[in-house]
Amino acid sequence: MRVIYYSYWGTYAAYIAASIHAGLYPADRLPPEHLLSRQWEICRKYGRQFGNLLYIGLDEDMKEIYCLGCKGKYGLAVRAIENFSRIFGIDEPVHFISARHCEGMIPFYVEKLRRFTMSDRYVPKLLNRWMARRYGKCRELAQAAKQSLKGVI
Amino acid sequence: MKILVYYCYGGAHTSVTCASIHLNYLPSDRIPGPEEFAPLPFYDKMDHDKLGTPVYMGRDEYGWDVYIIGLKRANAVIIPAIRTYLNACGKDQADLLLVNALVELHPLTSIGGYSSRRLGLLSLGRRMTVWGIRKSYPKFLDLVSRVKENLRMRHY
Repeated sequence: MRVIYYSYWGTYAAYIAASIHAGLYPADRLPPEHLLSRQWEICRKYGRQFGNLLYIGLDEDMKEIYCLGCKGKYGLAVRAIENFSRIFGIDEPVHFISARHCEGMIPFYVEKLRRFTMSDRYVPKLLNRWMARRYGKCRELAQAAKQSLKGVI
Repeated sequence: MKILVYYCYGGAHTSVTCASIHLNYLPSDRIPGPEEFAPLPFYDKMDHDKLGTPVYMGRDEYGWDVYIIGLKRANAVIIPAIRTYLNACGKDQADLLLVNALVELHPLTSIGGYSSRRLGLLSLGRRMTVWGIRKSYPKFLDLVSRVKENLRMRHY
């Protein structure tokens, strides 16, 4: 089974919830410093790549975990992927989990501000503050998804 | 499996016209009369909540399955999403061709499409879209002939 976490941006709430689900990020506390700076790098590199399905890893039930940034076209993206999956005869089911409610407005500001050269000093701090505030919600989402998908192949 | 998808904004007019020319439901040597649009499958039929759903139109002479899809203005997001998903599933995409059917149209076509699909003014809206599409018909013929040429080159 493939599990796709999706949101407006692919590298914020969707990425964090997917990483918690796959066990890349700890579920009981904030990620350590090196993972936070890695998160910043991921946002820099892939933040604006809407529609690029990012592979996160496998969870303990060997489900493939992905994240996707849809730029607000959630229904379209879900329907298109589900239907093309059917057309191409892909038997493995795909499950979509929305992380929109975990995101908030800060990722928009992070993405706006990181265009400026000065932003490298301050924007990662803004991202870290956002993560500290939203991590709990992402964790709840990932744990609820894991629970609901337990035993589903 | 060879799949050709014509996509446009609403999946109801321009993509259907292109697919219909491609599958010879509409003539490719003249501009069809307004009455020839009425029996076209899925012409002015796509509901708003079905956008993103590919609809099968038929199989062409080269063995390609022709679909239409409405992607609003999200083609820059949805097409990479489809392609990266198929890539993740290990599917070969050499035989998936997505063609933008949004040729330059007369503004009345868009107004007609909006009137028909969103405002429910079927009779008036449909007539306006047919008028606009007939006006731009040579552009559709040109697009479809280029697509067919491309398929012919792949075929041999």
